[in-house]
Amino acid sequence: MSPQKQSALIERTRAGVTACDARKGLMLLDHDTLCVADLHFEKASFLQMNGHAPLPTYDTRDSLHRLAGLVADYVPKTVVALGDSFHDIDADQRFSETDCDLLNAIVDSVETFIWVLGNHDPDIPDCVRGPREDHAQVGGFLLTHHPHDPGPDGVNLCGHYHPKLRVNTGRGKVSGPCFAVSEERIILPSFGTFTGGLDVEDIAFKSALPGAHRYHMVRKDRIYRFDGAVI
Amino acid sequence: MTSPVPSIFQDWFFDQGWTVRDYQRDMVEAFGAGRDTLLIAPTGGGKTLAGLLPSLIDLHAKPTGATPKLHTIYISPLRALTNDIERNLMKPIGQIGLPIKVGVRTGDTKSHVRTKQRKSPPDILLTTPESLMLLLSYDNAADYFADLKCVVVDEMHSFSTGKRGDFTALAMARLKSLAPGHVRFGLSATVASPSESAKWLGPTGSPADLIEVVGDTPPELDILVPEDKRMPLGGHNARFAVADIYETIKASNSVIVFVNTRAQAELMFQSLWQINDDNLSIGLYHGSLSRERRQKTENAIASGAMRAVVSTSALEMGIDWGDVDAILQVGAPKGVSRLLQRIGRSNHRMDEPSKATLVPCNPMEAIECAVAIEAIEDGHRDGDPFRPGAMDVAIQYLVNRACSAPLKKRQTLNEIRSAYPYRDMSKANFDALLNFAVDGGYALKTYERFHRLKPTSRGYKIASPQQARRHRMNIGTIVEYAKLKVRRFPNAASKRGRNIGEIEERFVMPLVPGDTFMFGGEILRYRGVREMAVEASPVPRKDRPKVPAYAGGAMPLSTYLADGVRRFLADEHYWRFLPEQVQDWLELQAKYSALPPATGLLAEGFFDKKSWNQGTFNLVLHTFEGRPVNNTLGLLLTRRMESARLKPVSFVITDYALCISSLEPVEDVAALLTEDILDKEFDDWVVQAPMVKKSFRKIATIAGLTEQRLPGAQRSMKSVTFSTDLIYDVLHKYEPDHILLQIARTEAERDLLDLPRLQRWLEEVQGQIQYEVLPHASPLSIPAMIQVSKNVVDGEAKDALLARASDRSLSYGEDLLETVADYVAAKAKRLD
Repeated sequence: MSPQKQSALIERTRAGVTACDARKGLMLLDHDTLCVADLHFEKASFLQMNGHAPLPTYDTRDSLHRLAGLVADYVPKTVVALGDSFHDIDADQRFSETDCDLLNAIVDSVETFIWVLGNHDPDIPDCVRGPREDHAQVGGFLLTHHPHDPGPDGVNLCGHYHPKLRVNTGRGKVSGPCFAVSEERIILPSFGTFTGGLDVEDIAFKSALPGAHRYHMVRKDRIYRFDGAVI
Repeated sequence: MTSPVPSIFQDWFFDQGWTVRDYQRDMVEAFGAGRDTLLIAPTGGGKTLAGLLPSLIDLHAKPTGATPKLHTIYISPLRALTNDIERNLMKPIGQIGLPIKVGVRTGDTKSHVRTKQRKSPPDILLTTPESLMLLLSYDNAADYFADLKCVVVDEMHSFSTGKRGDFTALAMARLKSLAPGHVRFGLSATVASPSESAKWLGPTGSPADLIEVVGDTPPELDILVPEDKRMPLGGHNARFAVADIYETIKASNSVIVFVNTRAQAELMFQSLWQINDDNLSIGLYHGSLSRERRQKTENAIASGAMRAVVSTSALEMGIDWGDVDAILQVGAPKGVSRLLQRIGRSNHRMDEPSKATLVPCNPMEAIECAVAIEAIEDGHRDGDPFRPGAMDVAIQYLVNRACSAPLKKRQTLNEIRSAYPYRDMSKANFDALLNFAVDGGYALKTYERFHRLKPTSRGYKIASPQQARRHRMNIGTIVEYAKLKVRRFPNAASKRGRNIGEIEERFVMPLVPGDTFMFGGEILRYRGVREMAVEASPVPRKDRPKVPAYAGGAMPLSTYLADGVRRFLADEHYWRFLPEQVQDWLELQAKYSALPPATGLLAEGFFDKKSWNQGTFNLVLHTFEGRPVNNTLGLLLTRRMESARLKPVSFVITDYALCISSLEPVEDVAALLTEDILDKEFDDWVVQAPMVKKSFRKIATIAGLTEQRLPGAQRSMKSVTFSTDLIYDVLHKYEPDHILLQIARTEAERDLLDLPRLQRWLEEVQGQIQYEVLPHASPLSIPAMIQVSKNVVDGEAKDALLARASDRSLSYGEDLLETVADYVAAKAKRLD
């Protein structure tokens, strides 16, 4: 993928400048750090195992390709995965050797690849390299899975909610995953190929994203900015 | 020769004031001779009795106390019909005193009744294709159906050509394997091609015998247009004619007012009650109302307690009530055979003419009505053609088959081929379908996969009870939007509510508490959604309640009628059959622009004068080629216009015309409509293929790749649903030749695109394009202009609209990308 075909939005926060990429990754430009949330590797195979046998399982491979593309374009020093990286406890048994090699190649291509774990997060398979952490602090940015208080001048980057925005264009509705942004927090869209979303109108966002907010919605390799008031 | 009809039956007929008709006797003989038979007869006149009489006779002498065995299956496309047939069957059974047990098995059947039926079958089972398939999925199917003597398919014309017909054909093929000796009967209204229907009914290679009964009293038809009111130029609202409709009801004993959609039914019902000064009992009937509500109305109709009922196609078939003396068809009839079916609801006696009044809601519908009347007088019938069996349905059948007993490949292939729609299924195709049924059949094999069917030494079996359960929950070919129950509370304060029907979830989503909507003939105030139900309570009349729209409401116009409309327009001789208002409208069109020629194309172009749309140019092509062609042409042309920098925004289609709005005016229509549009744009377009995606959504559900989403189902973060579009995109990227994508492509080209017809039309109009550039919309263009649902040009145009809706200009994405690109470049330098 050539970078010209992609688009990204600059989001200036009180803790520093970020770029929200249409491939659903967020780059901390001052810190050479790429964040992705909710990779949900092996989700399709989990669903297969639970009765949805004919589902295609290309999701893991597709998420890996997208991640590799982001890393190749931004060349970050650090990559942080914000939890729910693997879909379930047994995912390691289904995670193929080929995919593990692909993932480790990405891990090895950067200085540090940090796996932040959520409360109920399944273990990262042993074959995967990189430190496992409860959270990560990058400058003024507090990187977690669930929302946390970043302190007076900080910004919390988290995942977990899979925010999705629905927009009425006046000629029909369009919806897509989005970055949900407030002064103290950015909730990242879920990165996994087969992950759905939770409408940002859902009650869950009332407490997770208090105060003024806006959304950056992703659709077909493009990203669009919407102010909260527009919705 | 002695009559095949025993005297106790003849006596019963006599007591009813009837005699046994020839074709009823023929059916009894056909049963005795074991000959599959298709009975084609006009509506009314004891067709259903003819189909079931042989079974009643065969069963009448059965020893009492015999082990219950399933003797006859009666398959009906409508649940309502099975209830009605049960009522009618119980008459002779009760009055003659026959030792025959009749059971109804549909989606409405309570679970304790189902359990009882599975253990101890009735003699005659009245069911739907879906419930039959479900019975075939149980592991006792072989025993259950072993003694079957007869299968009766009612109202065959209404569903045999579609996916549901394929589905039924497969179920019947299975029954033939389980009970080879039984006879198949089909009952059908008049169809365009009786011999094809006979082939469908019989096993492949031995078409059923045909009995055709001709009604000798043609129906009496007229068109109603109020003298003092103006007919709207577009849309489908019959409000302008409601006073005259009311007068017709007053002048009759019992009327059915047919409308085309559930939303129209609600609106018509409301309008009639607003002027119902005489307090006539006027009812409402459509498929979204609760079972109790529907049955109440059915009973009221049957007992003659109801003066009029406003109904959708849900009352089109079967329901036998002799006293209806007038049919009103509001809106265009959409098909000749459909109209005849509806007309047949009145005066259920064959020797008197049925009467019907057509109420068109716009000028084009008026012309359509006139064409339909002419067609009926000329004895013309239309109907969908038979097509090769759908592959997604075959996949579902394979899983169904494996749920009941191990599936052997060769045997199953032969069985499938014995269903007429699948007669030409190749071995290779079968293998691909089976592979999909087993585990999805993907090329990517990275770990031990999970199977839906697992191979055993005796054949393929369903892999787990869980898989079987999942399959059974999703049996069928009708893919619907998720629905929520409507729970009605008598007033805002009441705590106890009652379910009165269902409503589509996508209609509910944008509602906020306090909004009002029309349902079941009332205006309800939305309170919220709880426990998978919409809670609402009635409120006094209010302005502008929302009207729920239901998917699948729009009926496609038959090709025959579309051609007829074009013929009527082009030749002024026909105009005298049209209401005066419509003649005036056409004269205005002739003066202002031009009339569409009998061959060739009339195109019109003009700027939109609506203030909110200032500056949008509209190109209207009056093709008269039906929706699939107009839709395909819309997709191809907008793509072509995009590359020509005409900035197309959206298009709308009607059965007759395609209207494209663009930001730049179109100067040369002929240049856009060159024949190579099918080569140049098509390949490119098929790859992106919004239509293929659309097909894929349904196919994925029928083939069991995804399931019909249960309404309001709990969504935990782990199992958040994702759309079939995501699956499509991934498959398209990693396995473009996957069997499901192949099926989706084939179906889209066949059903949604109608390419052969488009090709013919393109050839025909070359050199015969008349382009009128006008100061504003012409009379003929208005119906398309005021069409509500627009197809936003997907891809770039949608992106553009999105960008317009967002708080930055179109170019902001690129601008910011530059910032990022600069950053990356600076960084690359640093790394050096």
